[in-house]
Amino acid sequence: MTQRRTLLIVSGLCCILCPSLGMLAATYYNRIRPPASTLQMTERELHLPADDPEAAQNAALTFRLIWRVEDMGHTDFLTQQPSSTPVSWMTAQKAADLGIRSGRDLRWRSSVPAFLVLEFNGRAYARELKRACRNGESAVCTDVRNLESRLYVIDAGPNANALRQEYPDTAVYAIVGGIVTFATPSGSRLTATIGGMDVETIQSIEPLRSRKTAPSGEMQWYALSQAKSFVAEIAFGRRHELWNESVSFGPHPTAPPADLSVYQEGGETEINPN
Amino acid sequence: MSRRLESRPTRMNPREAASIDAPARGSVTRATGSETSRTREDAQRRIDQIRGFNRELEALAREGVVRLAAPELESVRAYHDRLILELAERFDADVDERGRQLSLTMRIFSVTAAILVSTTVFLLFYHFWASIALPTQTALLIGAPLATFAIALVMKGYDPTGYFSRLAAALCFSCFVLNIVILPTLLNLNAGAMPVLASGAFALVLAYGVESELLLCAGIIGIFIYTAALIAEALGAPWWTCATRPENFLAGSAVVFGMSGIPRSSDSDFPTFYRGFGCLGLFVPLLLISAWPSLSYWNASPTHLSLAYQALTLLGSGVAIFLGVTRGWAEVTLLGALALLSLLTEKLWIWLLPRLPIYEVFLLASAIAIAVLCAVAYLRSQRRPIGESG
Repeated sequence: MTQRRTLLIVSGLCCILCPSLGMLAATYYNRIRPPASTLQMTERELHLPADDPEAAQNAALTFRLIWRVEDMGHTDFLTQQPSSTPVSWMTAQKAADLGIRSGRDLRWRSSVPAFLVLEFNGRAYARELKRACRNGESAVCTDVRNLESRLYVIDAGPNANALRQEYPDTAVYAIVGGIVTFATPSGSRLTATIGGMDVETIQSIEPLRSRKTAPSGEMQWYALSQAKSFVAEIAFGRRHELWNESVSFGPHPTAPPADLSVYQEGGETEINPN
Repeated sequence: MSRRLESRPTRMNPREAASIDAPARGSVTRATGSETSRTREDAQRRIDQIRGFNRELEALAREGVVRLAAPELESVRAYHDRLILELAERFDADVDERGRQLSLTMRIFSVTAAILVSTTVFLLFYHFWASIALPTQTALLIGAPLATFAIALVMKGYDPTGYFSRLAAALCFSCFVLNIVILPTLLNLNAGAMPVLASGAFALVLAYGVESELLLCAGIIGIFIYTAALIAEALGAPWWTCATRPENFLAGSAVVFGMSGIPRSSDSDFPTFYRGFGCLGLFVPLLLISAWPSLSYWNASPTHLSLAYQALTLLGSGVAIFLGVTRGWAEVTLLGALALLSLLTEKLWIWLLPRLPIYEVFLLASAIAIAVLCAVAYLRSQRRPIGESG
């Protein structure tokens, strides 16, 4: 075997195996127990491609995270995309921590990688519910109470450990990697939106993930999802990536919203000076 | 005469020359894959040289410049016939225009087959994919590039044409890209820019392994994207935003251009590709920012930025044309001239269209084109023919 051929084989094997084994090792590290946090989410926070007939035949059980941010303008918060809704909690100090001190910095980076705090069925959802129902029962109020996601992005920062110390309840708060996007839509005032999360789709666990129903050839999860109701336990690991611990289809009790007394009227969508 | 005919092309090194001349002197043995990939182009060049020589000899005889005696002519022809036959058999080179056309057809079908086979594999797995359990999917994703890599290596050893080993390498690359794109989704993993680096590096390894220009292009594009991603990350932005600022690709341009200096064991066209992509990576960002200054990182006035980048384009194209002419890099000259032409066309359009009627703009552009043509024609007429230098 010539030296050239040996070099080709060794470099080829390294190129194939190093990334693959690296990804497996990263997954193993991420899932070392105990998880950093575990949230019990339902069909309100996890989207299934159940409306797509093709999914019945050929799609593994995959959840997509449905998250929201508080819409302090409370005008059309159910129709506005969460990724285009400015966040009210972004202060000048938090923006500076993320490397954005003024509009000039946007020349170098308008989107910034950051750790995002997800709050499940907590104060942000309670405030949103109260806002939606302040004029009594309405379609919007019913939707927010029964259908809309209770998962809110409530904070962001460059340091995951600092955020965890600030939000220690691992059954309510989870920390994930994501993107904060800054803009100056009106003059020099900065606004921030959530550009997305590093991992927003979650492959479920075996065997339900890939099992097919023998007679019809349909995915088993697809048939189960016709009940329109399920509970999934989503864990968040050491690399702030998430995975599905368990899933059960069928009716489930609706958890009451969190403390409503913390609701404050109004809000600021531009970055606060402090 | 025959000794003179054995002189090698100037770009061939002694080892390759010995490799090419060997069949003319000794027994014929079929070249192995690795040997073939190194010298097939050289063998083809030698056959083309012989065919050119024969045509010129016939022309000289027709015009009465030289007339070789029949035994000498017969001796030369017999030597050439034997050499062509042996080169064709050993290195699978094309002996005539028909063979060349068939080789081109094979090359086209090789690329087409690579795309079709890759698509077939993808659709086959896609059909059954959902019902396969996660560990099996993971094993398949990692095993597919390993298996196809082994196939490409085996084919390289037995395929004198190189078409089938290139096809296997393209299939291997497709499997690898599927692996590093799908695996993070299966494992709910954020892989960052790693897949870009890995696919670029693997494309380069395969390109050098089977002498594939297609894979080399994939590898070079990988280098561009990864260097741009590194710069974006260093500036605090997510890696995938690298495409929003053309300046991110300038460093990749320098890296790729520099890679044209990597020593090669054969006369392949790889350096041409490196230099060509290097020039593209330089001129495309410069032209884009000179036209749309808001794409730049710099927080200067748009007019100043535009002027600065126009000056850089002018300087860069001048340097490229100079380097291309002095070093014999035709692709660098061409791309430098094209960048200059693009800049001038754009400026002519922007400056003159608001001031003159459109027919006068075209008249002026035509006049400039004819003036350039006349200038180049004058320069060409000033060149002394070879052999008159004294």
